[in-house]
Amino acid sequence: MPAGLLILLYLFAALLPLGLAWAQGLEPRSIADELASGAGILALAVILAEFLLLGRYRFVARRVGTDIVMRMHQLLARGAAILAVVHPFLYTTRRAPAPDWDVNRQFFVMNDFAAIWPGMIAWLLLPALVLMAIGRNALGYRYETWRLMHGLGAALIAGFGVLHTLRAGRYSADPAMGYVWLALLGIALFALAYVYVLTPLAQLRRPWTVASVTPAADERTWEVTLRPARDFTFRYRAGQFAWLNIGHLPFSLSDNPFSISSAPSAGPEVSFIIKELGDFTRTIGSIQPGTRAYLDGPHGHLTVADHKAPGIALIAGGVGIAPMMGILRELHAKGDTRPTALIYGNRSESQIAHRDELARLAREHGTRLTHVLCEPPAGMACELGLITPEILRDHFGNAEHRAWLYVLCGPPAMMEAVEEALIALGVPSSNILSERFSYD
Amino acid sequence: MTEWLSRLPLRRRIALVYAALNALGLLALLGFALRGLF
Repeated sequence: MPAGLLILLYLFAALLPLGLAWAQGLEPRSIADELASGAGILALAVILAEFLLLGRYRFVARRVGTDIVMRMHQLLARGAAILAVVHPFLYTTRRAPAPDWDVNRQFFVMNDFAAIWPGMIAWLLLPALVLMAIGRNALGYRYETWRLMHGLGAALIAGFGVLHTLRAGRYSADPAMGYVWLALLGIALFALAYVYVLTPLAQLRRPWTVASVTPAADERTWEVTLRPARDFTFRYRAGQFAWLNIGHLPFSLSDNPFSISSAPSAGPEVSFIIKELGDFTRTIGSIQPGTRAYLDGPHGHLTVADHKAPGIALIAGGVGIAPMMGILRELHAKGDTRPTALIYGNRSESQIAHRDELARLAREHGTRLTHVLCEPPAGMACELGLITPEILRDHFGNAEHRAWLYVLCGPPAMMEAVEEALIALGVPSSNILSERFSYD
Repeated sequence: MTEWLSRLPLRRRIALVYAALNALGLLALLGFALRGLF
């Protein structure tokens, strides 16, 4: 299903309740009142549709890209929060328990406490949830704690929001509209349960064991290799990533996304290159072989398998080398004859992962390998500084390179600069693949 | 149009889709609120 169709589906879900309210044909009240009701209906529909924009929900993420889905999830939630926050203040009609004769709530806005309190809770929780997500790093929450609060908070907002609209809403008093709200809530909660309950349950049946943890570079970078602990096949494509959980049960929310660095054709073992950066990664070097692990995946669209481009350029910064290792290893193992180039940026020589293997791949596979270092050692053949538009022009400035496929992975600033430089060289954006693990 | 879109970086394409979704949502909301005028 193409991305455009998914956008249309999203629009349908987000606008359906407003359309149903419109179709009821009730006499409109003042513009402010209709705006207030409309804002509340639209906000709740967007909030419920947010549950389908989860990075883990593969039906959507694999077609659009996990990072794009997550970015849209963030942005749309902010818009919904604004609508939800302003909606109660827009009403101008008298607020009172609606009398029996005002069947269509034409003259009174419901203010029964039983109808209002669920809305008040959702009204308080939603902006809090959005602000906590925006300031997640600054607030210093552990990832697992934040994830639990975000999932739980979202479920409460959805539940209380629907309860509020069913009890207080002028348009939601219509039985058909009530059923639509309940159906949308059901789909939203199922999507949440899929991620938080069903996926971990499936992982329990596919346990892994840590086979080895070996240094991939001189400086705090490791390659962790897992082996299936039971007889099952993990199908993935080179360049994809998975959510990795080592040493905890699948329900513990302790998994983190890492790119797979092994080649699918190399066998059932799966490897990840991980740099010590955060809560979990700081402990990577001390993980013992034999430790139980679980994977949620594969995810991601950073794969060259579906592309028929005449050449492949891999451009990596730091630990962004992980998916490139998987792609290069797979291309070599499969005997792919297309020309390949790898531009690999690091601060110093000690950060270069799998330096010897990369040199061997360059020799045996013919990959044009270029190291770019900010602090190069004396005598090392490499480019100096960052991956600049000049370096890219030197390597990919010919007309033939416009048809190549470019795969980018690294710090967001590097990927944006490289993408703009490639577009300036005439490479169409459809030939540029990138995946971010930071969505802001 | 296609040529122009193909020269947009990913971040701007996301911003474009987001702006389009917002515009459609706002249009629907205004249409709903102002329907009494027509």
